[in-house]
Amino acid sequence: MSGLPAAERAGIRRGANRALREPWSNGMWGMALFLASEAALFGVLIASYFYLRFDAERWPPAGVAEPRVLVPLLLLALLLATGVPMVLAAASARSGLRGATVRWLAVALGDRPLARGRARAPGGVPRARPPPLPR
Amino acid sequence: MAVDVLSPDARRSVDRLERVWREPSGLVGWLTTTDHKRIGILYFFTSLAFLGAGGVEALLIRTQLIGPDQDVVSPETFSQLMTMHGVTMIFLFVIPMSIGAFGNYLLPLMIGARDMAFPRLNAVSYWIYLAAGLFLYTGLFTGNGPDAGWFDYVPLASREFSPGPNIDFYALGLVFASVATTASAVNVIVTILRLRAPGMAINRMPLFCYAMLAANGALVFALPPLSAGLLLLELDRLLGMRFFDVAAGGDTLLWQHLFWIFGHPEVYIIVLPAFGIATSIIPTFARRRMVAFPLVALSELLVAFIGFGVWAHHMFAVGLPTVNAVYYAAASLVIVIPSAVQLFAWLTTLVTGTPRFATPLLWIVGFIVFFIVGGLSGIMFAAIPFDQQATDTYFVVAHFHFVIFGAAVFPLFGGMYYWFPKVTGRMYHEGVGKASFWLTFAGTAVTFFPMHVVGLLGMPRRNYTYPSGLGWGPYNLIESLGSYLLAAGLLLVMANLAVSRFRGAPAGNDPWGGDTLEWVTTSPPPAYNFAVTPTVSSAYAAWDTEDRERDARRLQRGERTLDGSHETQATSVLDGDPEEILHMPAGSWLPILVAVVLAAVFAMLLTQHFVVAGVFALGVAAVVAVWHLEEPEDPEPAFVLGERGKR
Repeated sequence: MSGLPAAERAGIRRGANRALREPWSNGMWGMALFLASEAALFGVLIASYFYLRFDAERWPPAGVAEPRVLVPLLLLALLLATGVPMVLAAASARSGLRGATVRWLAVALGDRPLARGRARAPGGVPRARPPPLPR
Repeated sequence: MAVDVLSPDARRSVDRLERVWREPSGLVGWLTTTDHKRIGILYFFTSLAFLGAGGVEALLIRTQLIGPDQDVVSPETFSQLMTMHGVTMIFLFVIPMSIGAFGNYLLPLMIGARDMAFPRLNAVSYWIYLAAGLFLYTGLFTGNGPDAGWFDYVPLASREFSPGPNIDFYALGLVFASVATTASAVNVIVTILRLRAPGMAINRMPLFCYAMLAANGALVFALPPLSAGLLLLELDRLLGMRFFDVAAGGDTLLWQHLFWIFGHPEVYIIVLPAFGIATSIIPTFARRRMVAFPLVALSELLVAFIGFGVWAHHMFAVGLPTVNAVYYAAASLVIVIPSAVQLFAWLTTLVTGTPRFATPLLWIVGFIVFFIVGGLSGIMFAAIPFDQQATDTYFVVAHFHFVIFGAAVFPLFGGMYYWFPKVTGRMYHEGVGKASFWLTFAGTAVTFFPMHVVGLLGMPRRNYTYPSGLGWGPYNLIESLGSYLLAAGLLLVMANLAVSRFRGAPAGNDPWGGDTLEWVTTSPPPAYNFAVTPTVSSAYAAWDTEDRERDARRLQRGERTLDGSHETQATSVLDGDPEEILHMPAGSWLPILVAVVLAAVFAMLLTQHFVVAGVFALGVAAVVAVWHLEEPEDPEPAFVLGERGKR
């Protein structure tokens, strides 16, 4: 994003007590806060369900079936499981490993041929090494 | 940066900054702006207009209650006026004024940044807020205004007892508004955490920023319970679900819990920015640093945190289990401690300093007086037996008007006087300023103090009239006369500021000897705020003359000016170490477009055209997609590679 000359002009140098990991970008901070707000919303809705379950005379009301949770829980487990290859894909992308990134993404999306390494990428695209990240 | 003659290097940097940060002139500039100062000014005038609307509603209410058995307005209209007065003042005036106008305008200036962290999101917040306000007022002007009080208890608000669209305007309007508030809260938090000037470690951050951090941090978690409650309410009302229908197994208390889990933190969200303004004004006029700075900073954060644990003290009279009630009573007493820490810190700073009682400080003194009055009656409500006697009487009305009007709004007027020279470059009239304070102070006391008495005599709140012979008449007459005095005081404030805007004497950069960075730059500040990125070594950056002289020398050498494009610095969250240079977006039509399409979604939900609403929701997604295609503009990329590389 910023060329080094600009950074130098702004007097940017790495502080001695800088954290070892890469700092979160503004976008990460913003997204984390939005997700916190969303999590609070779902937390409150789930709490409302249990509030009615414990406090109300009869909940769910007559004529409404009990919620069936087996299939949603299985789907939730599947969703959470896809998080693992996504994290690995992100890690590969950060280390500049193009092939591994594509393969882990394919695993997450359930694309078996691509996951096994049979590239369907358009032919003739050179496997360019990504440029080194400015440090 | 008090330099009279710019060196050629400095001149070149400033010229570039002027060119890069210039926005289109006229109406187009205002509609597409992403400049935090212009958005702050838009927030200011919009929330001022809503203050006017809420004020007219209040005056109509007081005129209706001036004597027994009046019929100035019908009972239905009274209910709508009373509800819209509360909704307007809380959602459309105080929060947008304190966080939208003051926060937007001042935060980047105070932390030495050039804009908010997400400038276009900032514009979206404003336009959505404006659309949501107009949405709510469409209800009132079509005779369908919300009419179940600002906390909208079910079953009164359910379809059975409120068949019209009144409550739908309330529920959808507030969800709509909270989209804007959530976005602006996230924006404010990231701005404070990441955009501070180099060297402004978290313990060197002005207390105003702590107050904003606390208030907006609380907003992120306080709004979801409100949205959840409103969602369940609308599912009940529009689709016939049964969450709040006791006959079908639902529970009306669920609404009260959800509302007050939001509603009580909201009280602190309203009052925290006022604390922040007070802690900005007091050191400047007492000519000394704030007493107990770390304790005040922690108290501001603690108030926001403990504020989430006291909500059920609004529900002592609804039959909670005793154990629960006692817990909330105790928590309500605990929150007195951080509030008192701040109060004593303000008082000690004033007493041990050499205070000059100019108009801004007078408003803060008025704030302290009324905060004590409202705070003490608040402690009384933590005693459950007293609460059960006084709940839903005018004693409650007296309490929260001292807290909200006296404590949360007085600093806003103090802040308007304090920062008026910075925003306009001119001074207000000091004599008229003092007169306007005393008039408003007297009006507030006369309007709200007798409500304590009439409340203890048993007058219930929210009734459109009362019979004679109960001894309530004289008190109500005094209250109504006081409200006219109060209105006159506020009109005098506005007249003073409006006339001074054009006739006031030039103010210069720093008429007060202020302690924070906004007083370092020109009045009004340029679009880029600071020509040189300031370097900070204490929480009173404007008082560190050596630092500011070093900034001026850097400007003369053309250093640290970040003039290639819309650039500002990002620093580390805790230590304020420089980390990267951010390229900020320039003006855009997309924010206003998002708000317009989103308004269409809510209008269609209101009229129960759910499919059309879905289509418009896809439209919102499309606009947001286009938004992400457009990278922040880099108007003069030549500087990045060419001239700049050489320097």
